[in-house]
Amino acid sequence: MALAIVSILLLAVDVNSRLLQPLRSTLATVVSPIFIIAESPYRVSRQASATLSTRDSLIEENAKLVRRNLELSQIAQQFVALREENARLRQLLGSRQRLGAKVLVAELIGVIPSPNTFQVEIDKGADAGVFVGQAVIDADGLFGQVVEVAQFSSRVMLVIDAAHAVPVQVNRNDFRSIAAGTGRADRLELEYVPITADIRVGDLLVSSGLGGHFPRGYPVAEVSSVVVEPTMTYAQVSARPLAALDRSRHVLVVFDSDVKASESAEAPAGAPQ
Amino acid sequence: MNPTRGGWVILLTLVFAMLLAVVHLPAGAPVWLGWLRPSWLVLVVFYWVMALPHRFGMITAWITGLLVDVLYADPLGVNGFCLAALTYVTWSENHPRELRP
Repeated sequence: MALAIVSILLLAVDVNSRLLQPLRSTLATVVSPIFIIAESPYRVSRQASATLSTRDSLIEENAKLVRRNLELSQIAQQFVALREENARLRQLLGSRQRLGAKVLVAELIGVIPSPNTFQVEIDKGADAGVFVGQAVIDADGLFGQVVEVAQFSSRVMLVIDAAHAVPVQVNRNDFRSIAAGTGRADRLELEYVPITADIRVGDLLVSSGLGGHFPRGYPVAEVSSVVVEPTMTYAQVSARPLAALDRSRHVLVVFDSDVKASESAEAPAGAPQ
Repeated sequence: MNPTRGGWVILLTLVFAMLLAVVHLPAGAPVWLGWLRPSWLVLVVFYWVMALPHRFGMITAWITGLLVDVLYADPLGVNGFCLAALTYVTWSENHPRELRP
């Protein structure tokens, strides 16, 4: 009986506030080895296949990587020039310079096996300086945000989780909106888009940085369908997330100085709306 | 649960059940294999409550449930409550005399 009361109290407190965050992260530190052990057979098999791969395949892969590196460094050259130019123009405008964000590479060590939520476990935690509310990206776009930090691991809520939302803008014309997760893989929904808004299939949505949670300018999704019914107030716009949410093994945790500064002012919430 | 008197066996089975609960199937596995997956932790709790009711009580079940809550990212207390209730039901079915003296 007492346990039932304690359970219900815990439930009420945990659902409505974030007071139990320290308790959760302590427990998460206890259970995080379970994820690491559960993942270890796959890790071993990957390492074995890497060790046992043939010389030919290594040579081929190396050649491919060299080509890719060349392509990327060519883009990076342009990027340096553009960044300088951008900084000069911003100075002319008198606005604050955008700082390059520091990132931390983390590896996925587990997926939370729950049908109600899309969360993954990564192998960097409080000891690496990760904090709740940090944005996580992968090679293709915004991945999610950190919702729980344990000592040596942390939980990341994916952008498609139904409790997640990210402020975005259309890259083509800077139209602002909020991309909310739907709880279904491969689908985000834009909220409160008027039917007259200029938004088309194929438009790139980038994070606008307006909520103070996410750094600005990371690609989030691509508009996949726009349904406009004249009788409705809002258009139904759905988008396909760009990050490889079910395939990425390595992700980047973004340390954005702007975000960290504003983090202390507002309480970190699951859905930054 | 007293670790010096064989309690580590119970602990080990619980940890193993949690492992089986979070381990994911390889990429090539057929989908129906996932449907056949039982709720390992509930089975293990069932077993210990029936086999060693004096060692495995509601408190242990509740603490296990708390860990599962964190594991599954559920609100704290849901699984704790469920496992403790399960323990209570199993217990009262198995040892009616102990509960109603």
